[in-house]
Parts: sequence; structure tokens; C-alpha cells
Amino acid sequence: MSMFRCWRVVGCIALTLMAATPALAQKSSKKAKAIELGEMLGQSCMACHGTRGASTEQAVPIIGGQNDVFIGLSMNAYRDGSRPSTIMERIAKAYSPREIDALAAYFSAQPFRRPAQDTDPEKVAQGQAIHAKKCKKCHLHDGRDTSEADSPLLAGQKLEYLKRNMAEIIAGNRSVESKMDAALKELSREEIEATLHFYAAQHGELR
Amino acid sequence: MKSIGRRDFLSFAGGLASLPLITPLVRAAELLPRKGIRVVVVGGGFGGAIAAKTLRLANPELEVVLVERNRTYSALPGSNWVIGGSRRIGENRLTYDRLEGSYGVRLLYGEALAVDVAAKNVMLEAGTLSYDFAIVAPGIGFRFGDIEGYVPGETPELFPHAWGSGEEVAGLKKRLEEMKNGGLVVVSLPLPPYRCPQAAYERISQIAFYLKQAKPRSKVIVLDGSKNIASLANLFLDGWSRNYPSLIEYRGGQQVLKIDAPRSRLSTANETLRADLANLIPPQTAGALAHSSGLVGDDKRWCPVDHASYESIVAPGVYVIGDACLGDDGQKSASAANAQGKACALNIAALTSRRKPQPHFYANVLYSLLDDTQGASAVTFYRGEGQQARLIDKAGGEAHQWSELEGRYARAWLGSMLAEMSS
Repeated sequence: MSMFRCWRVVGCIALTLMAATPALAQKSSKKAKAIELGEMLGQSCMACHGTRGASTEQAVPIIGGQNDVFIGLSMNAYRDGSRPSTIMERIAKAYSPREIDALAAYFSAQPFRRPAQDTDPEKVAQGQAIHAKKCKKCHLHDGRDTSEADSPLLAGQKLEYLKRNMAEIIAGNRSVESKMDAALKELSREEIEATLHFYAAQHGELR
Repeated sequence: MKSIGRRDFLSFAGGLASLPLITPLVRAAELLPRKGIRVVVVGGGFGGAIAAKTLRLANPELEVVLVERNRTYSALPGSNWVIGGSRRIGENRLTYDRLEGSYGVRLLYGEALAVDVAAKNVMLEAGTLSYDFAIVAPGIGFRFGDIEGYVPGETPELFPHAWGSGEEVAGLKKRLEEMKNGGLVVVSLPLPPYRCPQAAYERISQIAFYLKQAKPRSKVIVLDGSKNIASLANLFLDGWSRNYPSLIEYRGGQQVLKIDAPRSRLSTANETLRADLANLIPPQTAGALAHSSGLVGDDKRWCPVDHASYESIVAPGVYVIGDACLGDDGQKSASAANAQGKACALNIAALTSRRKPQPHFYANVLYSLLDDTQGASAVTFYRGEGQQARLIDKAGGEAHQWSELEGRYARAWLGSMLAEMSS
């Protein structure tokens, strides 16, 4: 490669970067501001959901590291009552849409902490097979990732919380998208419970 | 409410250990060499411990010293469940080791005698701690002098209040166990503001739950200085009439004015009762440290603060959180203290890192158990507006009924709050 061509390439890259930077910077500063607001608003959440959303309680979901779209959808669903709850409906109503975005931005930016939980090894093995057959297209990487931003990360989530929420979904009290609905119809109660054990069994530093 | 006279204040002060002089004659030694901008937090309860941790999380440059008198803390929330039998008191105990190990909070065990606001020193028996910011979370003290016949050194043994620590509640449980079947328990609640009125109603529920199982011929008479002011009060009254119909007799607007503890007597303006066991919760004020440091306001009872930051109105540079402060809407609870501690810490973290403090916004969440399984919650939200905290009325509210699910969440709420402040 000639010296001239080399500098031309570098110049092109530099120009491209320069053009892109203001927009990126603006976006990241907006995000930083949302995270800063979310840090303050989120303090009350942490009393139940743990430091930076890393719940220590089986009944309470981990929200730190959960994906932001799902957090926002959940808060709005609690707010309008479409997702059944006890206290969350009364809580979600306190926040404006902008504040819910800030909470989602803050908590999604925290690490998803996955301490080991008590799970049944047989159910975990059965659940792994079911996951591979029915769930992995959407709940990617053993539930550590998702193909759609509006579905939750499941790996390492608290088992008691997962069971309670699955019971609400099966009972028809909490609506889920049609793909999920269809997948659930093809599984028995035992099979569904086994997949929850599989997700709950993911722990420690993953990937 | 009657005004607070000199006699009352003196009798209150007499109830405290001898108060220190605010200006020591000899400048005592600095207990810890300084490592930078220093925040001293006095009191490791629900407000102080979380404030210390939050300060270190939000601005790791800060040197944070937590002064606490006990190496093991025994929490009050959930201690009522020990009376009912669904919790062991050991589960309410925690230590501060992890605040030091995981968050770099410096711990200093000892009794803080006073804050010297002018010199910016916290004074302990062994020496002083200089500070740039002081957060004071001294909890409550009792106005024993408001009750005629109350002898601070003797009465708490005879008529336990069990309003200071979880261990005291375990002691109250022992007294219930020693009581005969068919005994009369009198629970006396003071005039507000006092520490967590809802917990007093829960106390009554848990006593009744225990008696129903172990001593069903017994009875609880509640002498409430006010009338149903607690959150969830109606839910409690409803639960009592369903679960403990012949066990609890509630008498609102009945303040205990006079006692004869050796003869087990309590008197209101209308009647005198002879109790087999009295749980007498005296009227309250800010903890001793607030008085010795000159942080209480014109009411001589509580510490007025700027609600944006929890900085004292009477002593700038000192921040007062938890039950001792004239809190948002008069709320005094572990949850309110937790929220105030965090708001105060974030404010100081912003000031010390040249960021604009965010206006504070928080929820006060109260969970109670009616028995061993049925729970209910109440939430109130506050938003900082200038120096005031405004109640957000479009959100929050109380549970409509007792439920097992909220009972489950009550235990999770407690577990999480304890974990949050200690790990």
C-alpha cells in the first residue's frame, strides 16, 4: 500500500468518525443523564430489589442488568394493571414516562448478579432439553440474552419469582406475546417448571 | 397536645446518661488520621448504615467513617414476628464487617457524645473525629417525664417498651411466656409523632396471635393515645375483629398519664387498669445525641431539616436522618430512614464531585403481618420541592386486604433491607 493511499484511508476513517461523533456523543450524554436520574429514582427500588437491583430475595426479581425495554414495559403494565401485582401497581403510578425510562436506563446498565440457587438437578436437565427444543430461538444463550428486546433475561432469575409469574401467565392473568403463548400450550406443567429450574440454575460469571 | 415545659425537659434530660459538655476543656486527640474529604456518619441503624454504604458507592473518593456503639445490631422491623413465633431473633441481628470489607467504610465502635458543630468534630469518649460533613442518625429517645410515676432506671424492667431494639422485643416475648393463661396484657401507645405507629399495631397483632395459640383465655387491652393514626389502621382493626374477636379490646384516644409500675397499674384520664403484663411505649423525642449537639428545633423534640438534603436547619453542615428528624410528613420508619439516608448520601456525593444534586424522590414502604402468614403493605411517595417534601397523591396507597402473598413479600422486604444495609 502506498503512503498516499494509506493516509487517504486514515483520512476517510477520521472524517467518518468526526461526522458520527456529535450524534453519538449527544446520544450517550442523553443516556448518561437518564442513568444519573435513574440512580436517584432507583434508590427506593433497591430496598426490596437489592443494591443496584441485585435482589437477595427469592420472592423479588433481580432487576439489575435486566433489559431496559422489558423493565419499561413491566412498569407500564403494572401502572395500568394489565400485569397483576400487589404493591407494584401502587408504586409504578408514582413515576412519569420519562422517569420510567430513566429507571430502565439505570438498572439495565447494572451487572446481572447470579448467585447460586437451590434447584432440582433432574428438573434442570429436563429443562435444558426443553429449552433447546422450544425456547432457545427467543431466549438466547440459555436465557442470558433475548432475540427481542421486549422479552426478559431469564438466566439466574429468582426461581420463586419465575414460578409465581409463570403461574400468572398460565392462569391467563398476565398476557404474553403469541409466540410464547403457543410454546406454552405445547408443554405440560411439569415441563414448564423444569425449564424454570434450568434458567434459575444458571449462576456465577457467565460467558 | 400539652406544651413542653421546663420540668418535662429536665425530666427527659435526667433520663439520659450524664450529658457531655459541648466544649471540652482540652482538645481531645483525633481518633483517625484523615484520608481526604471526610463524612462521619453517627449511628448504624437503617438510616446511618445505608447512608455510609451509599456514600462510598456514589463517590469512592470520600472517606466515610461510621460511628456505632454496637458491634452487633438487632433490628426492630420483623422483631414483632418473634412474639408471634414465626421468626427467630437471631435472624434480626447483623454486623457491619462487610460495609468495611466490600465498600471501604471505616468503622469506629464507640459512643458518640456530641457533635461540636462549630469545630466540625464528633466527640467520643476516646477522642474526636473531625469532619467535612456529619450525618447524624441517633434514632429516638423517650420522654419518660411525660408519664407521672415513671422511673427511668426501674420502669422499663417492669413495663417494657421494647421499642429500642430487637433484643428488647425478644425479652417481651419471654415475659408473655411467663404470664398466666387468662392474664391481661395492656399495650399503651403514645401520642404521635413516634417511631413507626404501624409497627405498634403489628405488635398488638403478634401478641394476640401468640396468646390465641398459647394462652387463649388471656386478653389485650390497647390504650392508644391517639385514634387510628397508623397506616393500615382500618385493616388492622378489621383483621383483629376477624382473627382475635374476644382477644383484643381497642380504646382510642386513651393516653396513659400516670403509672404505678411496682403495683402494675396504669391510669388514663378515665380509668385505672391492673395489668399482668404492660407494654408501655412512652412518648418520644430525637435520640440523646441530637439533644447534646443542639440539633433539636423549637419544639424541643425533633430535628428540623431541609428536605432536599436533610441538612439541619439549626446547624448547617450537619445532616439529620431517620426517626430523629422532623421527617417527611412526620413519617418515622425503617423504610423512611433508609430512603432518607440514601437521598442524603447522594446529595453529599454530588456536592463533593461537582455534580448537580438530583431532587430527591422516594417511597416509604411499610409491611406488616397480622399473624404468621397474612401480610399487608402501605406505600407513600415523596418528591423534594425546594426545602419541602411533597406527598405524591396519585400513587402509593394501602393494600385492600390481608393476603398470604403480601405476607411473603413482607418477609422478603425485611430480608432485603437487612441485606442491603449490611452486605
